[in-house]
Amino acid sequence: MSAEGLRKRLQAAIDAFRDERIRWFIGRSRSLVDSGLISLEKMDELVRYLMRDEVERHLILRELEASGPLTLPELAKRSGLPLERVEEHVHVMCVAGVVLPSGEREGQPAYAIVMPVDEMFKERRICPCETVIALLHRLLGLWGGREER
Amino acid sequence: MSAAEGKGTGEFEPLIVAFCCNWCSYAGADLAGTSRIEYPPNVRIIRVMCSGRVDPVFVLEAFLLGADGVLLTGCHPGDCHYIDGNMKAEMRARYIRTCLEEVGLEPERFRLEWVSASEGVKFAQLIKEFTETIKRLGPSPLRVKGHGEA
Repeated sequence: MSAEGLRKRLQAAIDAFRDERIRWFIGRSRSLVDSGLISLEKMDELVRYLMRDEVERHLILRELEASGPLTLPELAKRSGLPLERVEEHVHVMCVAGVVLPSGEREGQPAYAIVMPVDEMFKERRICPCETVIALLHRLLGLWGGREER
Repeated sequence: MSAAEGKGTGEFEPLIVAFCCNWCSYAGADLAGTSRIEYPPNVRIIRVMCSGRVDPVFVLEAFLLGADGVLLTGCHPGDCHYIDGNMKAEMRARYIRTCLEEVGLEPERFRLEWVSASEGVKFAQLIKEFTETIKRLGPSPLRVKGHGEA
């Protein structure tokens, strides 16, 4: 892998570790293992699976942020991921509302991110209790200047 | 950067970042210094209050910024000043290694060790061993040009 490719993957891993999904899992993993609910080996397997997913998704998000809108083959080429994986991740992120179809190129749908990555994950990178409060504020329309969903 | 630079031998001198907990490992490093035990000058020590304070992001950022190796040292199990901070660090270290493998960087570039305040010799030995390991692995592909070059 080229240094540039490695740098991108490492940045994606940093993004993934800043995200609540991985943090929650890591924070809880020890108590889950200690309680006997799951073995350490199984936990390692789960973390590896989760880590791969998260790194790949953040890699795609950063590519879209830098050069989007991009089609699936373009994304696969830029990120170095197999096309099927890119397709799967983009589909998941469309459902989650972080990626949107944005026009067409060469007969292929292109995709873009809804807002800059750091802004998108700002809420998710703070403490979970603050995340809940932020969510409540947003749902109750109390957050000044924020769009209600 | 001066220690790893300018040896004039042309040999690769690794740049290692070590996160040492305030209560045990940093004191161990201090003991190694005050006891005049020699160890390679390739390590840059960052004192943290507990090994449990070290977020995986710190380690990954160090690699992104060109570190060839990252060392995390804490109190021995059962000796943590904050009860179980070192145990949290141990779990995180497992995942940091998994992450490095996923990313494509050798997991051996990251190491977690327990060093107590009385283990100055162990600290010096650890630095020697880890420096040798990193030398065997070679420079990080993300190494910033100019750092540690003789």
